[in-house]
Amino acid sequence: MKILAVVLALIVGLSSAATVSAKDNGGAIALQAVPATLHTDSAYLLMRTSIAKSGLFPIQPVLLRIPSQQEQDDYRVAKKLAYDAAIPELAKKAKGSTVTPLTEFTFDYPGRPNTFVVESKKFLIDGEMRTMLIEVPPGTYLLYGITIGGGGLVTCNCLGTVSFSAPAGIITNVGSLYADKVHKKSPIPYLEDNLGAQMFQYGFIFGEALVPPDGATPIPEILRALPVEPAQFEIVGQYFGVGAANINRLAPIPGLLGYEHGKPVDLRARAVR
Amino acid sequence: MKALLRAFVLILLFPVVGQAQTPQSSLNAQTAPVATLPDPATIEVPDVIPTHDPKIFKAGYKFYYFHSATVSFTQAYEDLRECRAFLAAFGAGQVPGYVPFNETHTPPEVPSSQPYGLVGVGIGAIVVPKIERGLRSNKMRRCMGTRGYARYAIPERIWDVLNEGDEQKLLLVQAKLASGPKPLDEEVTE
Repeated sequence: MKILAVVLALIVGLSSAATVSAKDNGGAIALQAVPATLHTDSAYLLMRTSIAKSGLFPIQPVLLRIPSQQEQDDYRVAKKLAYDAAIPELAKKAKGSTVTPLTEFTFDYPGRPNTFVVESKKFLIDGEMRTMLIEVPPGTYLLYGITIGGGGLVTCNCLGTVSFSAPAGIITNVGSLYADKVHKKSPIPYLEDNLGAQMFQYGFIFGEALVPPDGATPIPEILRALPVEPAQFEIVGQYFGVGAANINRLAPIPGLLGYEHGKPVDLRARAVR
Repeated sequence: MKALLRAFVLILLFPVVGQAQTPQSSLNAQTAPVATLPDPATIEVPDVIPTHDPKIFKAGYKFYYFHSATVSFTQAYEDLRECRAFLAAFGAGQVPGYVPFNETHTPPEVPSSQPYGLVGVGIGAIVVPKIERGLRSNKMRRCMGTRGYARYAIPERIWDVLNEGDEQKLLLVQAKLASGPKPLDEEVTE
């Protein structure tokens, strides 16, 4: 009983951590009604997402927008300033040995987030697959990983994923996204869900799959008056340095994303990235 | 009760959110590029001859080494080097948050409050190393497994030799085993 109380207390702690981080969801606003017109300086993402949960918490995709040159420059300037200000303290901690270099300097950047959580409770159309319409800053987006409840990136798609461009003034149809725990068979389709029960040791491992839109993918009737274009996907190779409890890859996509010796391959070009 | 304990352990993971990461470039700076690798014949490896001890095989999901019959020593070294780079980042990065994609980034460690008192600290001291080993193992299994490597059980003390100490030495020893003769024992499939 005591353990149960501790578990509940921890769950409450987890929920509040998620709430704090939800103030700016990477500039993403999930629309729960169809807008009469689209903003010319915003991009819009249309997607259908699975609604798997782990206990009370929804399993949700995380997208990353590749930062602009200006954002990267701002980040570097802010980091350098913070580093310069911290040098006396770092030197003191080093006690005569090498001072931590800028590349390894621990830095909490207060700039605008460029990752956002696809929140399953904020949808346009309900169903076994929920239809989401999300207003976002224009840019290039990656299917970056998966979170549970929000707050922390639990599994990244670090071993291979896709990106797509979301231009301003139109709705980019991303297709259908599926996510669930994958240490054992999942009822959610398209996932690589055979990783083995022991992959559950001490941590969740999630998997994600994408079914891109094609000519047969129906566009919801309520969006017919608005410009909708299918996303054009690019293959993204492995990426490092991501804080994630587990690593995984986007499930192979017939005709688009394959893997050779574990490396992502563009099946349209057969080019290893 | 077992499920409850597992939930407890899983939830314990969340206080590590945002823990500091070592940039991949920094990790790889500690290891040698392929061009300068020594002759594998000069690398000493521990004895991994099967013991046929069922206890060791049963614990093979925790204590194992990788092997592939189709890779060279150089390829195995490069695969291990790339996969071990994923071990540098531990804990769940904050989302939403700013990620300077493809650039080294070390977010701050979230201060860990200790709401569970001394008992919590005691439990943490026992459980956290096991959690860390499990998470590291999951990453290596997924990364090396997708490259076609199989796993073979070894005693815990051999696993320690293969996984603790100088990173460059670990890579060389593991690469030699991974690309060596096919092990005589059964593959770990769990």
